This record gives sequence, structure tokens and C-alpha cells, in this order.
Amino acid sequence: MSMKYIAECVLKQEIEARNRPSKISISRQFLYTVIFGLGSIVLYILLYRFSGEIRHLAELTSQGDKQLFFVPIVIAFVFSIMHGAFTGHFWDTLGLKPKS
Amino acid sequence: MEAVNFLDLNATTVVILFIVGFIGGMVSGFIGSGGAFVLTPAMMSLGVPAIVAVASNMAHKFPKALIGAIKRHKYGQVDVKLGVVMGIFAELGVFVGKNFMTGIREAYGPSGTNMYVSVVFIVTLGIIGTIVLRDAIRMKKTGAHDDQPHKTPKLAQWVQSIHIPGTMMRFKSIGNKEVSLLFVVPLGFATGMLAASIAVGGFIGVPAMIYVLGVPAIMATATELVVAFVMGTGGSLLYAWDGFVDIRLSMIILAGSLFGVQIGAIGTTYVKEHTVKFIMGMIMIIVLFSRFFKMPEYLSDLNLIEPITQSTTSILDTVSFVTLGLALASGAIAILLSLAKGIIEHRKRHEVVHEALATD
Repeated sequence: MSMKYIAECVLKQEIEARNRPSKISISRQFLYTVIFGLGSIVLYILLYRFSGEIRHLAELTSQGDKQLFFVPIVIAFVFSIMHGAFTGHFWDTLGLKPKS
Repeated sequence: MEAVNFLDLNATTVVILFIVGFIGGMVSGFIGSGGAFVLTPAMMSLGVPAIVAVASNMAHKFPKALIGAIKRHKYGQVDVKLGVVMGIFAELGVFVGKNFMTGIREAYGPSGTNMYVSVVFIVTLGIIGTIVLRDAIRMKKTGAHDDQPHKTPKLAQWVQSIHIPGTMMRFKSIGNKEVSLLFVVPLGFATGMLAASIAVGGFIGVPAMIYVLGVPAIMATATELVVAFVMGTGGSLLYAWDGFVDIRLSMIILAGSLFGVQIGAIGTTYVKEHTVKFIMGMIMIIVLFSRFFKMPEYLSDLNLIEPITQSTTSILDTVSFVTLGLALASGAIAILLSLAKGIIEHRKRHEVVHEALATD
């Protein structure tokens, strides 16, 4: 198998991959990054704003008031989904992708 | 119950937690684990009580596990049934482990749980770190790699051959063969016990699925995400019920770790497998020593040795913190260098192909 043949195959695959219609265009990728990024920022501002209340809630729970014990778990879920979506799009937008 | 001491957050602590989260996430993405084996000791080194560190790590890990499990389910790598069954028994392990931990706290105070968690870390990281490093050296010497065709280990063949009526269950990940629940139950239980102790259950769950049940490695790591989600949800609720989850800490760490985890995961596609294992083993052993340096303080607090002076305590604190910093920094540098080297080599290969085409 000649070097030229291998090179042609690799290049052909590369061109095909580039021409394949991407599920998400670059501009939409950027838009998602901005939307989820803003969402993340809002969540972290709220976390900072209410950090005293959150700490107080945990103290109340540890002292026996169990009414809102589940709140930290809900917070964990919401943050994971929003911030996870943001970071996923963030590196893609910057062009850091896995080796094909 | 004694009041829980939550860390006072200031700008410095927030920045440190973010960086720790970023590096912890990078390490976890790189080696395919939850990263709590770095994050729990890191939180403890910052002064977070062990039980809060474990609880808070569980709380930010289980939603990530769900996202990961859904992703890998799309690739057909997840055995949902095995994951849920193991997860339910792991939940039982978490329940017992958590009660054990709160029992220690009530009997001996925060120093008791600090010491318990540190001992479990030292033993677990010592064993797993040594195995991983030996494996890395063997792979480098022989050029072997893990993606060889799956062979059912001998122990798993024996387990699959045992038929106990009324306890058999069929799983797709072992080629639709049956295995007795009596083997699955203790594996799930032990995974949960370890998770409740150090927030890392995968150190038992993954090898157990591979070597005892005969699940292929890629399916075992994917199925472990289901186990981690099931037991993590229950475990987090249990710890939250007692007010041990400091969600502020969890979310700051999550902020950094979700950035890091992507880099780490991308990094694995550019480096050789023995490099991943070598970095993983190296970090584990250094983290082990960071816990080891704190032991005299805990032993002294519990009156198990002669009391040590305040200055000795502060020296040991610094040494432990610096050691952990060394683990994180060396891990991060090693991963970033490997990633950069991999990307450069990949680009060079592409250039050679283009040049070859141009000259022909």
C-alpha cells in the first residue's frame, strides 16, 4: 500500500468530515454558549446573594427543622444542567475538540 | 448533635475552591472517575470537616453521573438493569456507611470522622495507586493496551457457573448470562459503604463488575455511572437530611470542575493509555501522603498519642496542604503537557500527509 494511497484516504475522510452537515452551526454553537453562560452567571450571582440563607438553612436542618432539607439537592441539579451545558459548548466554541 | 462548622467563604477561599475544582475536574475527566479522591482531601485540607466534605462531594457528583450515564447509554455502553440493581444495594451500603460516620461523629466528634475518612483514604489510595502504577509501568514496557478483545476473567467464569435457585438474574452486559444476586448484593453494598466514607464508590464498583461479574471494562465504567447516580441521590438526601451538605462549596467546586472535566476528557484522546494510568497513580500516591501528614493531629485530638504542640500542628497542616497542592499542580501540568504534546504530534502527522500529497 503506497504512501500516496494512505494519504489520499486520510484526506478524503477529512474532506468528507468537513463537508458533512454539522448538527449545530458555529454561530448557533456560540449562541448556546452565550445563553447557557448567562444562565450560569445568573445562578452563581443568586448563590452568592443567598449564601447566608443557604448556610442558615443547613444549620436549621441540622438542628431538626427538616422542612427544606431537599433544597441543596435541587440546587445541585439545576446548576449541573445549566453549567454543564455551558461548559460543554464553551470548549467546542473555542475549538478544543477530541482527536478524530 | 454537635453543630456543623461550615467554612467561611471569602474571595481567597472561593478562588482556591474554583482552582481545586478545575484541576480536580481535569483529573477526573482524564482518568474517567468522579474526581472526589482529589476533591474530598482538598476540601479537608482547606479546613472543611470530613463529613461535610464527603456529603458536599456526593451532592455535586450525582447529577454529573446522570448526565454521563445518559450520554453513554446512547452509545449502548450502559447496563441499566445491573446499574439499578447494584445501585439499590449500594444505597443500603450508603445508609449503613452514613450511620457509621454519624455514629463516629457523635462518639468522637469531628476529629473522629476526620481520622476515619483519612484512614480509609490512605488504605484505598495506597492499594489502588500501587496497582495502577504497576499496570502503567507494565504497559509501557510491554506496549500492551486495554482495548484488547474482552476475555471473561476466571473468577467471573466461576461466578457465572454457580446456579442458586431463586436468586438468578440475567444481565445484558455479561452476554445475557445469569448470575446469582448473592454475588451482586455484597459488591453493591461495599461500593456504597466506600462512597459514604470517602465519596468514591467506583474504586470498588468498577473492578468488581469487571473481575467478579465479567462485565467488559467499557460497560463497567459506564454502568458505574448509573450506580453512582442511584446511590449518590439517596446518599446526598441522607446527608442533606442531617444538614451536612454545604451546597455553596459544592457549587463553587462544580463551577471549576465542569470546565476541567471537558479538557481532561479531550486530553485522553491525544495520549497513550499508560500515560493516563501513570498520572492517575502518581496523583493518588501524593494525595495519600497529604492525608498521612494530618494523622498525628487527629491522633492527638483523640488522645491516642501524646498531645502535639500547636506549632507542630501548624507545620503538619502546611506540609499536608503543600503536598496536596503538589498533587494537584503536578497532575494539572502533566495533563496539560500531554494534551499539548498530543495535539502538536497530531497536527504534524496531518502536515506530513498533506506534504506527501503535494509532492506526488
